[in-house]
This record gives sequence, C-alpha cells and structure tokens, in this order.
Amino acid sequence: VTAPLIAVHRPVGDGPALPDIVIDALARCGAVVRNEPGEDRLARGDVDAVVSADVAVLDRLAMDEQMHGRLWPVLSGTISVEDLLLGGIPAWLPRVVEAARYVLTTDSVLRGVLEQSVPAAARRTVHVDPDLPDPVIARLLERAFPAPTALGGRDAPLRVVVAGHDFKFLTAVLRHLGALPQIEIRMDHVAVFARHDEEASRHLVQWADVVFCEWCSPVAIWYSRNKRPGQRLVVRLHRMELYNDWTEHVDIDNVNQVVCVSPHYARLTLAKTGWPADKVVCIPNYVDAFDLDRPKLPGARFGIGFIGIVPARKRLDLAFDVLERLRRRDPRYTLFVKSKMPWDYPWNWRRKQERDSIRALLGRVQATPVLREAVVFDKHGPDVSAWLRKIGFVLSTSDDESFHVGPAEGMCSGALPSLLPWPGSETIYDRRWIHDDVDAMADDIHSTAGGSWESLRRAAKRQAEASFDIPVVAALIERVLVEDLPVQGHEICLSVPLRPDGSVTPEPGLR
Amino acid sequence: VNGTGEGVTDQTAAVPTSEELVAEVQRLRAEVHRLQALLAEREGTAQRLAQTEAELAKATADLAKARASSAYELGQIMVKAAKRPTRAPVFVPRELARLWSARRTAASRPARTGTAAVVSPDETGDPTLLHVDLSAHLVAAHDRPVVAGVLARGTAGALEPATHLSLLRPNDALRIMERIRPDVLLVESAAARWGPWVHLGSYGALERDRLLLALLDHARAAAVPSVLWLDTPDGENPGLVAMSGRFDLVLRTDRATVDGGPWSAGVSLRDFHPVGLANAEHDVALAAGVAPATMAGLAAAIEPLRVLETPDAQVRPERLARAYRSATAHLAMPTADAVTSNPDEVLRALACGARVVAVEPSERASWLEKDLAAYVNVVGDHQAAGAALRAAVRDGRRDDASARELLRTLRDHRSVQARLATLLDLVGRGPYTALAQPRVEPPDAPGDAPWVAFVDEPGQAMLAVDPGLLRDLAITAECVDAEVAGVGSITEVTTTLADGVLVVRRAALDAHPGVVPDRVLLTEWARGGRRMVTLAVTTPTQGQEVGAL
Repeated sequence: VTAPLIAVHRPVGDGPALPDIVIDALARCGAVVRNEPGEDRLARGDVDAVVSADVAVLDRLAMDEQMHGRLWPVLSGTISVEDLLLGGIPAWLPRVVEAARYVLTTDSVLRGVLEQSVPAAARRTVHVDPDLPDPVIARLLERAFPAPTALGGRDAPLRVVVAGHDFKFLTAVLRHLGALPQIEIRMDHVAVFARHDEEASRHLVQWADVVFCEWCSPVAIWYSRNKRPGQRLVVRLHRMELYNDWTEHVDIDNVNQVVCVSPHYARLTLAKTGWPADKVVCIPNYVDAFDLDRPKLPGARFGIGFIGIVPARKRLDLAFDVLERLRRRDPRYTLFVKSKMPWDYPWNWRRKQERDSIRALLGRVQATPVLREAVVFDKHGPDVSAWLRKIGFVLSTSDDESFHVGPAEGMCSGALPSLLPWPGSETIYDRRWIHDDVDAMADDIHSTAGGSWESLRRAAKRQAEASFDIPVVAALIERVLVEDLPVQGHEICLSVPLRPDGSVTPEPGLR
Repeated sequence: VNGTGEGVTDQTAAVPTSEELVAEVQRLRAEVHRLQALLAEREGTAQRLAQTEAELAKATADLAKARASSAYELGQIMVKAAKRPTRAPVFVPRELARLWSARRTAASRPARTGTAAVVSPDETGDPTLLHVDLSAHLVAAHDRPVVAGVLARGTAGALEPATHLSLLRPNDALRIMERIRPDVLLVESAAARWGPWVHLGSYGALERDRLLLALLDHARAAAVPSVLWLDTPDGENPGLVAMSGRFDLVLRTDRATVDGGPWSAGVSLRDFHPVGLANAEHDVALAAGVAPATMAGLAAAIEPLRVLETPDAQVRPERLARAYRSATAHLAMPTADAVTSNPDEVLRALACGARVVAVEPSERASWLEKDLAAYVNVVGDHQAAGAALRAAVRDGRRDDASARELLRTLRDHRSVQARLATLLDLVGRGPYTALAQPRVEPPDAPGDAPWVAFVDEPGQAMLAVDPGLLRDLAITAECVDAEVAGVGSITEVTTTLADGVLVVRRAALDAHPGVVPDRVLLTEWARGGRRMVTLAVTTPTQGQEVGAL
C-alpha cells in the first residue's frame, strides 16, 4: 500500500498557524507530508489530501470541484465557539465544510459546536487530542486510505456498478470501497423508486464485472434478467421489499447472492421466497464507530435516548412506560428523542392512525406530571454522535425492526442498548440487552445506572465495534463482490459475545 | 342595517367577558379532571369527556384570544392605575409603551395559521402546537407574580407557591412565551445540570443555547425583563456566561452581585423548616463534593465529630431537609470556584434548625452580617471551623425563642417570597403585596391579609394575644402548607376552641363565608382533608412566649 501524500499548506508570513501536533502526528503515523507555502501546487492530482488552516485559501479551494473530498481544513483558532453561538455562522464555513473530507480541530468543544451549527460537519469532524494525537490520526488515516481485504492482489480494478434509488444504508461503505485503488465504482442511481433509465443500465451492465443492487426493487429485477453470463450479481434485501411482490419477479438463478441485514430477515426471506438457502446471506448494517467514539457528558447515565419515532410501530409509548417507572425512582432520568416528527413525513401524516398516535403521545406528556419535565424532542439531524454524548441508554421498543441501527450507534458511543424482544432482535444484539417487558427494562436500567454502567458499556462498545463498524461491514461487502459468503455461522451478527460476568476481551478504551 | 338600528344584532352581548371565560375554563377543567377519574370505572363517559375537552379547548382558545387583545391589556393597566393612583403616573406610560412596542413587534411577524394551543393543532395546519398545553399556563388572576422560568427542579418547587410559574420546556418554551406576559423571564444555570435543559450553556446541546437566545430576543421585544441566575461554577456553563450580556440582570451565587452579597433565591420554608425536628443523629452536615484536599485538611479539624454528607438540593429537597434536621450543625464553605459560601445552603440549614458555621474570609462575609449575624458563626479557616463546630455541637440545638425569632427573620428577609419581591423590584416589576410578610387580622377586619385569627371565644379581640405568637402560627402553617394553625394538641384544636388560639388561612375561611370556625366545623374540616398544624404548649399564657415548633 502506498503511503498517502498530504500537502500541508504553510503560508509564509502571518496567517493562521497550523497546529504542529497535527502535522507531526500525520508524519509519525505513516503519511508523506509535503510542505507547500503557496497555493498553486495544492491542487495537483497526486495529492491525496490538503491540510490548511487558512480560511481564505480553503474557501478558494472549496470552489474547485476537483478538490472536493481532498480538503482537510484545520479549524482551531480560526473560529471560536462563542462566535458561532452569538455571532452566527460565517458564509465561508458551510462551503469549506461541505467540500472537506475531514475537518480537524484540537478543540473538542468546537467539534460539537461545528456539528450542531453546520449539518455537513457531522460525521466528518475529527477531534485531535493535543495531548495524545497519534491514536486519532492513525485511525483517521486508516479510514481515509483503507487497505483492501478480499480485493488485495488484483492487477486491474474490479469494475462495480451499484444500482438503486437510495444509498443511505450504504454511503460510508461506498466511500470506503471507493478509496480502494483495486475497485472502480459507477453508480446507477435511479431517480424514481420503481423506474429507471434502462438505456443507461444497458451500458453499465456491459462495463461492469459485478453489479450490486442496493434494493430488491424493479431495478434488481431488470439486472437479474439482463446481466451478462458470468457477470456477478448481488442484491440487498431490506424489510420493505420483503412485504411486496418484487421478489417474485427476480430471476434468482441469475443472482449470485441475496444479502439481508439480519439472520432473522434472512430466514423470513427464505420462508417467503423459497430461494435456495445458499444464496441468502447476512451482512449487518454499519455504524461509524470512529465518529461515535466521544467522551460522555456529565450525568449521561440518566439520559435515555430514543432515535426515530416514525412510524408508530416504533412504540414511543413503551419508552414513556419505562420512563415513568424510572422517574419514580430518580427524577434525574430524562428521555431525549432524536427524530423527525410524524408530521414531517407527508406520506405518514396522511394516515389517521399516525396522527392519532402522536396526538395521544404528546397529550400523555402534558397530562402526566412525571413525564412533563422528562421528555425532550430534539431536532432531527445528522449530529447524532454529538447528541449521543448525553445519552447513557438507547432504547429499542419497536413492534418490528429489520435491524434498528440506533442501539448499535449507542453502543459505539459508550451507551448501553436496551431492547424489548422484537422478532429477530436476539439475532443482532446480545440477549443481555434484551428485556422481557418494560418493567424488566426499567429495573435493568436503574440498577445498571447506579452500578455497573461504566464496565458494561465497555463491553457493549467492544461488541458493536467488532461487529458493525464500517471497516468490518465494508470488508464483508468487498468479499461478497468477488465470492459467495458462507451461510453457516450467522445465527447472530455479533462477533464478540459477552462473558457471563458481562465483559468481553479485549476491552476497548473508553472516554 | 337601517338607520334606526332595527335588525342589528348586539354582537357584544353574545361575546363572553374574559372573567366569564376564566370561570368557564376553571369549571370545565375541573369537569375534565372529574371525568378522567370516572373514566376507568364507568362506561360511556369517554364520549362526554371528549365533548367537555372540546368545550374546554374552545373556551381556552377564546380566553387566550381575549387576553391577548390590546383592549384587554389596556383595561388591565387602567384597573391597576385605579388601584394605585399615586403610582399610576409612573407605571401607566411605561406599560403603555410596552404594550405599543409588543403590538408593533407582533404585527411585524408573519401571521400564523394556528393561534391557540389546544384547538386541534393538526387541523390548524400547525401540528407543532401539539407540544403545547396552553391551558396550563393561563393566569386567571394576576394576584401573584407571573414568572416564566428555565429552572432547576428544586427552585421551581420553591417558587411555585408564591408565583404563577410557567416552567418552560424546550419543546414549548417559545410558544408559551409568545402567549403569556410574564413579569420576568428567569433562567437559572442549575437547570443545566439535569432535566430537560441539561447541558444548557455547556455547548453540549447547542440546540438549547440557540433556543435560549430566541427566548431572550422575544423577551426583549415584548419588554419582559430577563434575569440570569448563575448558581453553578462558570466552568459548567461557559455558554451561559457568554450569553450573560443579553440578559437585563445577572445574579450570581458565588460572589457579590446585589445588596453587597451573593444572590440567593431564598429559602422555601415549605421545604426547609424545623417542624418535626428530631434528636440529632449527626453532629455536622457537610455538602457533598468537597475537594479531597480540602476534606483532608478539614478531617483533622473536625475529628471526632460525626459528619453527614448532604444530598443534592435539586434532586430531592425533602431528603436534604431531613439531613439538615438530623444534624446539630452545618459547615458551609466556598467551593473551588466560589468566593463565598453558597447562601442558599446556609439558609436551608438555618431554616431546618441547624447551627451554621461558615468559613469566609472576613472581608467577604458582609452578606452574613446583617440579619443573620446572630445565627451564623463566621470563621476564617478550617482550624477555626473545627473549634466552632465543636462548640456548636456542645451547645446543642437553639432554644425555642431563638428558633422562632430566626424563623421570623428568614420569613421576612430571606424567604423565597422576600427574595422574589427583591428580584421584581430590581427589574422594575414590584412591589407585590402578596409577597409581603404574613399578616394576621381579626376575623371581621377588612383588608387582604392572608390569615385570620380567632382567640378563645369566637370574635374576641386578638390584640390580647402576643402578635408574635400569631405570626409564629402563620409562619408555621406556611412551613407545612397548613390552612389552620392553633395552639395545643391537634385533638384539642379540632374538638374545642376553648383556651385556644386559632389562625386560619383566609382562603379556607372564604370557602365557608359567614361561618366562624367552631369545633364542629373544625372536625368537619379535618375529616374533609384540610391541613392543620398546632404548636405544642409549654406555657399556655396569653401575651407570653409559648410553644415549641
């Protein structure tokens, strides 16, 4: 693997100083650092990343589309948290952040404020601890310039078409794969869910070695009927597709493997479709453990988190039941809901059942003194990692889920998951975190918050990082692009079981 | 419409007045509560409940609309002017200017589709109103200060009895502020420690900080004074400190801000009082979280006294009160970032009957020297504190006379009511007579004193009794939230009034107009759940010191 070349912009004379600790750490962690006093050589094609603290230069580079994804602004000392709060957001900031691959800062408070001020800053802002920069920089370089796994040793890049209407469950994996020189990706982005530009697909199918359909939708049906002989076709199947008739029209003989997000849904898929058992495998959804790894705020163990309340089958009412039980024991427990509201989705708001549900829920908050001061609806947004800093437990009380990524995100953030036994939950999460009912859930949260919360969250974090982190999931996707995954050994997604004493080996560091 | 006016409907006659709407709202709300209780038992009430709730929603919306009208507010100003003719030339122009300013601001805003909180919000096109229960914030009579607050739980509990308190929550704060007209917007930094405003000003929840800025903008536009009370170390809430310039008044607990001393919200005698004081189980109560280095230096000085660490005042005030009551003395000292001891901590301990030793450099102890000089032993260092605490433990609890005198002092100058009155004066919204010290009047005396006294025989002049005793009774009743206070055993009070002294809350008496409490009525009250308290008699002589709390 070639070491990445990082151009460090150090202008001569006065100007915002780049923190030496960042630059030195980059060099120590294996990057080739090239100092560039002027702007003209920064945009050269051989440069993998440009590090600069000069806002004017960054703003100019952000205008150049060739630089998008290669800018690594360092925003320490150039802007203050007080300015962002009281003075507003400077015009250049969103432009620079949107063009950046990573935004570096040595100020942990500024990191959170940036993410809560500029939506694009979420998931790309990195805090480099001035006292211990190397671990973060090393992890950052591994993410930005990943090493191949299954694709290692290829002479020519693998040509992959990724087709679908929505890639929200694949974004980070695509970025990870796209950074590998051993793969070339072209997107067949379908504008409307059930229709696509067949002519474009015809050209792409001629070009590709592998076609990866992100949804088992009409696009996948088309590829299953039009792929070239010998060409590999992989289809992902989510909860939504299982409950319509698209699966009936897929030519399964032409599909190499179907990927479900949990063993439970793999079993449901087999039961519904009758497809050959060796074609249906499981790869879990991913979470960004690097981004989620942040210190908890004081009192986080009393913060109960609930991510996503739409539709009503997410059962926020059960979370209220749990909260009522907790508040009777300690008034510090607070439920924070991070979600769009039901009225934010027009398709959802047209349903009377959904309207009645949220009206009843909010009415219950008003009418129940123990809930009135205990429930907060936070704005929906990409700043989940910053939001999770105040959360000690993430609830999952749904009637039904295919995966529910919220608890996994919580685990990576250092919170504990707490689930009710929705079908298949035990195939994704450890049974330690699954409770029979709201009483048991409340009992466990309260006893854990007052005792083993610190030690248990280490174990939970280790479990989630080892099973759901981007590199782990990307490696499985990388593998399924070139070979069939084995079906055996997928009773549960977790690769690190919990010991009887509630620990795992090795335990990760916690902040 | 013809020229004679025939055929013209009198529109105004059909529109209920705001007072009628208030009464209607109260009636309907009571009806809703009653029906809610019956719902579980009786089939068929669900439909009636829904209908009543709909009526309540409509009446509430009408009331909100009426109260939000300029005509209504103008009327309120004129009524106030008529009541206080001497002050009218001062406040009427100010109020009119405020009204004009608020109206102009409101007019410049885009019109909203929904104007009332409880009228089927999804039908108005603004479902975010589902977060708001406006009816809980309506003020029927402006007889107490209206406070909109971002407050810690304990503070809210302490303020509630003395105010119309609109406790703002992140999801309804702006909506509520748009619809009520508080005397003051009070923001307390301790609200950021836990609860819905947790991490406010810490930059950990910027959403809250931006919301607070929006609230302050609204308050300024509506001419509502805003007060920031910093009662936590600055390091916890740097964002609040950064925002402090946006407030009209900033108060601090850790150093002098007003009156030459640190700000205190005052002690809530309902939460912290000596009633029910038991034998001391501990020698010294000490706030938890003392720095280890301080504790190490202190340990030797206070050895071998029995020390109790006290819990967080905001989590369970009753537990803190029990802790203070269980200790003979309390040691107060500045925390790491503070210049002075926490005044609220000192007041709470005093109110619960503990002797207080405060470690304060002499030049900073002026706030303790006024009315509290006789009750707080100010020392300069830990060594001196050890000696002072040992002496306090040796002396034991205060005698009855001293305890009652202290309680009077606290009620008059250091209670929540007293401090609230000061706060409102500071922001130009005082004075409020309802916040004054408890006054007791003969039963047939006119006026608005909250307490009525009866002595021996119904109707006997109360002047024969020590006025201090009557005040003690009223204060004791306040401490335990009682409506009736007397001297003697509770059996005596409820069975006979002979040789007794009785103080009755006027509101309780007003529920039975024209009736003088006698033993029958008292027994009926007791059975009906009225709250009563008595002072134990030690020297039952009129005009002399009697009783122990």
